[in-house]
Amino acid sequence: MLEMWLSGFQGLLHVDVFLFVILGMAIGLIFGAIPGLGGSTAIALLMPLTYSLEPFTALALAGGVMGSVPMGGSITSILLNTPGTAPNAATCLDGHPLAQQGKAGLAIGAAGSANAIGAIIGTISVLAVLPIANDVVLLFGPPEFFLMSVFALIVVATATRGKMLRGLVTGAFGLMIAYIGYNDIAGGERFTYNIEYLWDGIHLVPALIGLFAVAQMIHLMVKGGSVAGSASAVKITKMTAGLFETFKHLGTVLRGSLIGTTVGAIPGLGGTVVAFLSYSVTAQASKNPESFGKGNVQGVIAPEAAICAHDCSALIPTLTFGIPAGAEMAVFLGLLIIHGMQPGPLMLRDHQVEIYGLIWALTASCVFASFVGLAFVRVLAKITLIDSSILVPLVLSTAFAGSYAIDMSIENVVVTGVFGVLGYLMMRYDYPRLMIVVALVLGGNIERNLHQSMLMGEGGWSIFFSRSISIFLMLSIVAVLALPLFRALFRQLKLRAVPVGSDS
Amino acid sequence: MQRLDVEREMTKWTRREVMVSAAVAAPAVFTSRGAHSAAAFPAKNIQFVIPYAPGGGFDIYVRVVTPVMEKYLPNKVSIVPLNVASGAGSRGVTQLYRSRPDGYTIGILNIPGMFILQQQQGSTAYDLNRFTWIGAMGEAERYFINVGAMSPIKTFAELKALSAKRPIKFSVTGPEGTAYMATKIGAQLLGLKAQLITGYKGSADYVIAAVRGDSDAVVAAVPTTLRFRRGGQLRPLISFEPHSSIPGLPDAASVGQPELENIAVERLVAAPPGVPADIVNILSTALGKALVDPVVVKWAKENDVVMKPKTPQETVAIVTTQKAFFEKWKTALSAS
Amino acid sequence: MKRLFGTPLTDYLPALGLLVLTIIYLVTGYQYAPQARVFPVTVAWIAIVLIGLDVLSRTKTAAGAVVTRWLNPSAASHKADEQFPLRKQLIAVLWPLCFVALIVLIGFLYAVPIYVMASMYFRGRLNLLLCAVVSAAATLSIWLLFAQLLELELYPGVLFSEL
Repeated sequence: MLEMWLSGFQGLLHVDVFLFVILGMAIGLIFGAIPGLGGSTAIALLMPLTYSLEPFTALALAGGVMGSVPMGGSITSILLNTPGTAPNAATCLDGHPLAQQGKAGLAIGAAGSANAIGAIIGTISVLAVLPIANDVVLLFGPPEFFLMSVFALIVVATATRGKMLRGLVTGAFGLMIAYIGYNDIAGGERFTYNIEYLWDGIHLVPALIGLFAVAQMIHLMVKGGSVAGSASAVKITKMTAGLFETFKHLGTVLRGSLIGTTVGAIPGLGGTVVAFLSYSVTAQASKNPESFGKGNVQGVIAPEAAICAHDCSALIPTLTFGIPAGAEMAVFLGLLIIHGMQPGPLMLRDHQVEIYGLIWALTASCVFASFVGLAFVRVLAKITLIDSSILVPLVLSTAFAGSYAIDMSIENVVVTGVFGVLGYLMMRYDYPRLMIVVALVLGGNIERNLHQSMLMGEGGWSIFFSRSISIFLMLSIVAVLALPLFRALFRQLKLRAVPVGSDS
Repeated sequence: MQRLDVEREMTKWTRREVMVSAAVAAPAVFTSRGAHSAAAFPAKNIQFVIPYAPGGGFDIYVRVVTPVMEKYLPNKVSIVPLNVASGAGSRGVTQLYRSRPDGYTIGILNIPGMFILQQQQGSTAYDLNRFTWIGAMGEAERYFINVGAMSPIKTFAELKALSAKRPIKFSVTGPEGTAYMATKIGAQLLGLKAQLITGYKGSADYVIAAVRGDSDAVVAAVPTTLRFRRGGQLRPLISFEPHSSIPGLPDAASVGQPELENIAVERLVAAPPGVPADIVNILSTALGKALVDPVVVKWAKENDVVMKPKTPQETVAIVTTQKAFFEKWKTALSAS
Repeated sequence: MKRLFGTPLTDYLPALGLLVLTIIYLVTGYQYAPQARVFPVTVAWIAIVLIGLDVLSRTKTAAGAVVTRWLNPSAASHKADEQFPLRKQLIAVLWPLCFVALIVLIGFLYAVPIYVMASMYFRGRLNLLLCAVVSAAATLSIWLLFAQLLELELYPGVLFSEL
């Protein structure tokens, strides 16, 4: 197997293959940055190009695209609060406040390095796990997916500790929105009021673009001026500061990568939830959680590491079973089949070299993309100095065009507009937006997996108690709920330990 | 919110293109002037509408066949795939229906999938009987009942015996999908008591459910199960074909249920209503030749699909048969 | 400013707005079959309880203070943009909505230059030539990227499709 690893790597060292990786990287950066377009659009666009290529080269190209998309997305998330792809919405939460403080360079530097390290860790885990991936993935079924979704929801809810009530309200609201559309379980439409577009429900990416990008642009119009408050701070921002911060918080990177890798390998939650989960866990574990959302660089490092690690490990279910872990993987799967590679256990046997080449290409692209981002930090940071009257219409034009381009529905643009206003109102009245995103993504999952679990267990709840992973997840949920209680208790005990009579 | 009729504008697109070209002073991608007679057809690129997202089963067929099909057209043009994925396919179908009947927009339709979807959605935007049928991308996909390799059930007889004791749990997608139809009708014809676990999100997903043990069995088509069968993770028990393509299995003939062979997914190629016959001829000939081209034959063999071409008349016959079959089972399907 | 339980009435508006939406949702939900409505209706009821707590936390009563301290401690801190006049906020919200309406009516290729120019000229009071150049460049880039490279047909607008 080791020789396969190496031959996969060696395959990349041919000039023409290498050039395709770089080409893929460049395309991925651009498509990742523009909201609405993403890895899936890029790969779909490149598919005809790959017909004349060798499978190895085609995969190298695809790997190049997939590796750099997160970095492209994080750049616009940080500078403009515009999530280039859905998972990058988590980067907006602390990345944009940093840009507003003039520290865009720091944020981009941190994002880039977290990306690269996350990708490397993700790759190593994938390469180690791939042989046994088959059996591991099969252990997770609807009961586990249900519990994982609930777990993620609770973790994210408890992370908004200072505003938990408002967070829960928006979470409930997000869940309500998630149930709009055709009901896959029993048939029949819900809450669509006979609007054809709503059959698929509220599309996630247009809603996110509205909630984050458009809302921020509205805020910018109210505030006036440019994104960054002071030009002097922007001038001295350095990419090395970002690199430095990432290494200072290596624990955060590792934690984020771990979350990304483990959750990515199980086709249950998806990249968006992973990013927010990593963010929330880091916020919870930090010594001053209130600083998150106001420009804590760890709030950039955590999701970015998770996203890249997740992208690597999402290859596992895609390659071993042909279950795409997202739209990007679905298109990628199509690419594989067109080139005569059927995903499945045989793929690992017959096309090992191509697979390892792909994984190396993905990692390489991720690392290169970080370098590119880091190299252009100064230039990019200047964007935060453009006045709002120019910046806002340009960003809005691109955001609406990208939203439309997702599937050529003009209704997407309307959704983006409406959610933009909603997002601004949420900013204005202090309702955290992160809960609504996670709830929107997980709402359908929760209902569907619970329904399926009940049918599997023939009506009872006993199925959750008969599977070891389910039991473990339930205990974790209890632990997460009990944690704040223990913390409060611990604090009380510590206070009591202070000797009576000392000066307070 | 008012329904925005996006589709209606498609037929006026060419006029709009001219305006845009003038406004932006740059060459438009498509030119459109003058009548399109068969002698000049095709004079520009042909758009191939795929009502599904890129990467899915139908998308793959189109992307494999259309580059080859281009070679067999009288003039050198490209066939450009266009994915229109909203509404589980209805938007793409509507867009195809409303396009200009000049042969420059064609698409692939899932029959009887679209009948089922139309019933679920109650959409009146298109009439499936009025499409101009061009041909098919190969033979229909046939269904098998499969169990996971780790299942204790080894033969169809055992499955039937189990069904007498308790309902068999089948994993399916949603009621708007063909798997649901295939499972419900198949189970009824075979006399199996079935409990459907609905809601799985894709073709690979609901088959893995059986591999994993969520469900007892799964009714799935040959292409979907290919990778699992080859990997030894799935065991087919019975085929809905008239004569099973996998030796040793019971089939529609041996269990005496010939109606099972009507449960199939057809990949039909269509154009908007009213396309002139000579243009249809050009397109269907090109499609037919593409399907027997060595490149496509080789790919088909590797992926275990049969790409036998069909004439427009044969295609119309298929649609009629499927429609009749669907009408017969419509009420049974909508009852849950 | 009238006060209810010690808080100005306008402070209740966000929560009440959500309440109205939730109630509409709930009423619609009850029309569906029992199995289909289980989840949405349960979530809606939970939402109503939570919104109730939210309203309570906004009052200045003792109960409200308890709720705030346990569930929403940082609510006391600032609200974004509070210092800006309401009129400015309304205008800022209306601009993108007008843009959306413009795109729907006349399509991207006309709406983008009009909006960019209007925004730069009326809000930024910038040189007319600069506005024209930037909006032309923006439109060209969008056209190149979406219509040419991606070969998508940019939405031509409802008005033009009626012609």
